[in-house]
This record gives sequence, C-alpha cells and structure tokens, in this order.
Amino acid sequence: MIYLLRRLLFMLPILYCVSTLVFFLIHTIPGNPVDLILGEQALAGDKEILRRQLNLDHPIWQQQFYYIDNLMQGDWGRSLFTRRPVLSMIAERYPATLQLASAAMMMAFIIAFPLGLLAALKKNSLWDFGSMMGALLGISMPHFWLGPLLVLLFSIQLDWFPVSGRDLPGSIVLPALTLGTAMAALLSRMFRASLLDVLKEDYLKSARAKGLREGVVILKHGVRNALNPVVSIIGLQIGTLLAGAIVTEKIFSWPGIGLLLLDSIYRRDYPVVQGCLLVIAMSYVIVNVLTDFIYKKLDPRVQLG
Amino acid sequence: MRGMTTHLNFRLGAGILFLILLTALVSFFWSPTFLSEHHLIDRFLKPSLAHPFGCDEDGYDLLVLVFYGARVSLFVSLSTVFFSAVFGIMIGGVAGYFGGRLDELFIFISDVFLSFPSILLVIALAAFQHEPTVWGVIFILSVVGWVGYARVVRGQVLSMKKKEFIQSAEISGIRFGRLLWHHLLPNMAGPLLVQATFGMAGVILVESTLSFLGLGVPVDVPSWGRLLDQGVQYLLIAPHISVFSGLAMMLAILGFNLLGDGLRDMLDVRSGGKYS
Repeated sequence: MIYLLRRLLFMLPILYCVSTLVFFLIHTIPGNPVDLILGEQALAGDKEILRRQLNLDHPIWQQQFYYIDNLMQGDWGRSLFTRRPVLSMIAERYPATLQLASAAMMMAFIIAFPLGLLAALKKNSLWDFGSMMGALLGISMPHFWLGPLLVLLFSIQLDWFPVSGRDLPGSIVLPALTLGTAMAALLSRMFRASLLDVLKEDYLKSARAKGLREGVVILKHGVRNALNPVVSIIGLQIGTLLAGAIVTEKIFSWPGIGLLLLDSIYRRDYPVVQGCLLVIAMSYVIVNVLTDFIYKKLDPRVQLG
Repeated sequence: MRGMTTHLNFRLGAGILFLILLTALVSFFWSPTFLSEHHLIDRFLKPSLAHPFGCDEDGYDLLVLVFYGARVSLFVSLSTVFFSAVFGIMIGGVAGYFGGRLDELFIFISDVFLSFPSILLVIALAAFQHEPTVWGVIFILSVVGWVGYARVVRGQVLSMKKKEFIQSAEISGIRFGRLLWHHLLPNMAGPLLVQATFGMAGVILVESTLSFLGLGVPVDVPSWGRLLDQGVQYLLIAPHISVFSGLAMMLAILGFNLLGDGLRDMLDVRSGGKYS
C-alpha cells in the first residue's frame, strides 16, 4: 500500500513535466492566442478582456503557475470550437477508448494464449513455425493497414461486422482485433519463450514425479509461472496500445479520446488538444503503476520498492 | 541452424530493400512525367494492364505514387536516422566520457523521454506544428529519436573508457572530438549500425502513422501514409489504394527488421532501440 502511494506520488513530477511541455508547446504556436480565439477583426476591448482571462498579461512563468493551478482545480479551459468545458468533453469520450483498449487487450490474450502454448508444447513443429511466422507478420503489420484489410474481409466480403461507428452490436470486434493483433503477436512470442524456459525447470519434473496428470502439470505449474514475464511486458505495451487506439479510432470512426484529439488538432482547438494529451499521458502512467502491482500479485517473490 | 537463418534473414531483408531502393530511384525518372499527366476520368480505376496498381482519387497512377512514396519514406527515414545518430553520438559520447553531473543529467533527460512511447511524443509535437513540411517531420522525429542512439553510445563509451588503447590516446594529448571520432566511434560501429537499421524500420512506421493521421508530410507530397489515409476514406469503392500502399510500407518495414536481425546476429550485438 505504501508502495502504491509512493508510486502515485512519483507520478506527480512526470505529469508536471508533461503539462509543462504541453504548456510551452502551445506557446510556440505562431500568432496570438487571442487572435486565434476571437479572430483578428475582434474589438480591442474584447481582446483585452480575453487577454486578462487567459492571464496573458502576466510574465510567462506566472502564466505557467496559473495554468498548473487551474489544472489542479479541474478547470481545463473551454473548447474554442464548442465553447464547452474541456474536461466534460473528455469525460464523454473516455469510456469509449477504455472499452476499446480493454477489448483489444482481451482479444490479444485470447489469440496469444493458445498460439504460444501450442508453439511451446510442439516446439520446432509445423505448428510452432506457423504460429511464430504469424506472430512476426502481426508485429510488422501497422494498425492502419490491418484495419482496412479486416474491414475489406469481414465487413465488405463477408458482411459479419459493421464498417465503423460504435452504435451497432458487434461494432467493437474489428477495432479491437485491429488494435489487439500487434500485442497478440508480441505476447505469443513472449509466452512461448517463457513457457519453454519454465518447461525445463526441475519443479515440473517433481510435479510429474508425484503423479500429476500432464494437463495439470502444464497448466497449474507451467503456465502459471510462464505468465509472469508476459504480464510485465503488458505495462510496457500500454503506450503502444494508447497510440494505436488513436489510429484505430480514426480508421473506424470510434468516438473515443483519440478521435477527439485528432479532430481538435485539425480544428486547432488547442485547449482540447492539451487536455487530451494530458489525459492520455496520465492514463499511461497510472496503468504502468497498476501492472507493477499485478506483477507482484502474480509473483510474490518480486520485491517492489 | 542459427547461422543459416541469420543469413537467410539478412539476405531476405537486403533483397527486399534493394527492390524498394530501386523503385525509389525509378521514381526520379518516371514520376515527373506521370505526375503531371493524370485524368480525372481514371478516378478509382481498378488495377489493369495499363495501371497495374489502379488509380487514386485524382486519377493518378497508383504504381507511380507508391514508387514516389518509397522515395519520400527513404528520404525521411535516412535523414531522421542521420540527424538522430549524429546528436545521439555527440550527447551520448560526452555523457559517457565525462561522466559525473553531465551523465546524471543525461540519464534523467533520457529517462523522461523513454518514459513515454515515442509515437505519443511525436503526435504531441506534431499537434502544434503550424505548417507541415517534410523537414518539420524530420525535425520532430529526430527530437524524439536521438535518445536511443545516445544510450547505445554512452554504454559503449563507458565500457571502452578504461581500455588501454583509449588511455594511450589520452596520454598523447588528444582532443575529445578527435578521440570520439577516430578511436571510440570505429569501435562501436556494429551496435550503432544495428540500432540504425532497426531505427529505419521504426521511423518509416512512425512517419507513415503521422501522415496517416494527417499530421505528417504536406498534402501535395505522396507518401505511403497519406495514400493509406486516402485508401481508408475510399475503402468501399477503391480498396486497391489501401492494399497496395500498405503492402509497400509493410515490405519496407519487414525488410529493415529482417536486415537488422541478420546484422545483429552476424555482428553479435545485443541492443534495444527507442524505435525498435
């Protein structure tokens, strides 16, 4: 528990760095934010009021202080486009991204587990070779190519799943598959390698020697231990998953935070862009802390600290 | 067995890349005439003998565009890898050689960079780009990319610093720049080469992702990512656009990854890169 608290505290400087980076990036944009919001023809008085509202009349280090202060108080600014609070726009979109990412992760496990198991148990067989070639292909295949190919096959040729959107039942399947495949490929390779290591261990011999059935030996003693390194790689993969979610949401018009980020970039709606970037960065850091925790639960020998 | 697959990987990768390089070179002679020559009536034309890859939304021949895309991808990735490596060598070399506070600072900065996936940083930087240009993309990718090279170089310098040939060079009163260039660098060419090869694959992927998201190279530059973006928009009427442009990009990425695998085994290098 203390460890968790400490990790969460350690997140603060990282998030501070991220928000500072975003703050200064916004200040590198050529042109005046006031002109950007009101248009260059706006009245001088209006401009002055907005200037004061945005704290632009203070030196830059003070502006950054106000900026962080507002962030902490939950005031993330308003969209230049819809005039709505950024935080509520993000809150609306966030569940869709969470749903997509978890579905993709589940999909990755469902694919990777049998593939890795098969490849490890039948090492150097055609099964092994086939599934590992498949994995190599899955790693090399970018999301934004896999997605269209899946749509061509499953939506257009076979008409099993919808092409895009989030409203129809089954519309999550193709986005999740698109996002999950690269992870599945990586996980199956990892799982195969770690299972092969575990299968050589003496405790498997003793499990067999005490008369356990082979299935129990493999599943309870082999797989259980082989999963540990696989879980630790998931934490590292979350970032790839989040970035992939941005691409996947664009392909399938999935109304998540990635699509919101892209739309806001196109509209130059900087308050929303900055909010989305911060939320994505925060999710990444939090999930990383959580995977550390799960890792410890799986393997009590691991000392965190 | 290991030696055989190594050479197989290396040869396969080299073969694929040779083909792609060839298409990039062909585009210098071929595309200028073809790019000016397009007919709207050929819009979304299916692949045929006259247009083996079909045509795009403006009636351009897709084969020409894909060849031109190879040129853009190779140019962006070679430049990015070059600039990243140069900065990485300088910064990593200084950090590893002088150590102390400088090294601590370097470790901190690179930790901050590595604590986030490169693609997220790249998207964040590209989001605030005012006018997209090819050099802007190269700049953004290099800003994020140098860390991997710097880490490799720092590690190598640290392990070589106490070796006799470095110490004897120091005794002769050599300047640091010369030491780095003539004595340290030649002895870490292997790991750097491997890092750069995987880096090429990574940069091609990230560049295409950016262009696909509409944050990469300008609209009038045909790149694989842009073609794929167009292909997704017209997936229902012209699936060939996404199929062929994606195929080209995947072959390039696969080629560099295979080459990197082969090089790593042949040069016996263990390393992980920022982009790999």
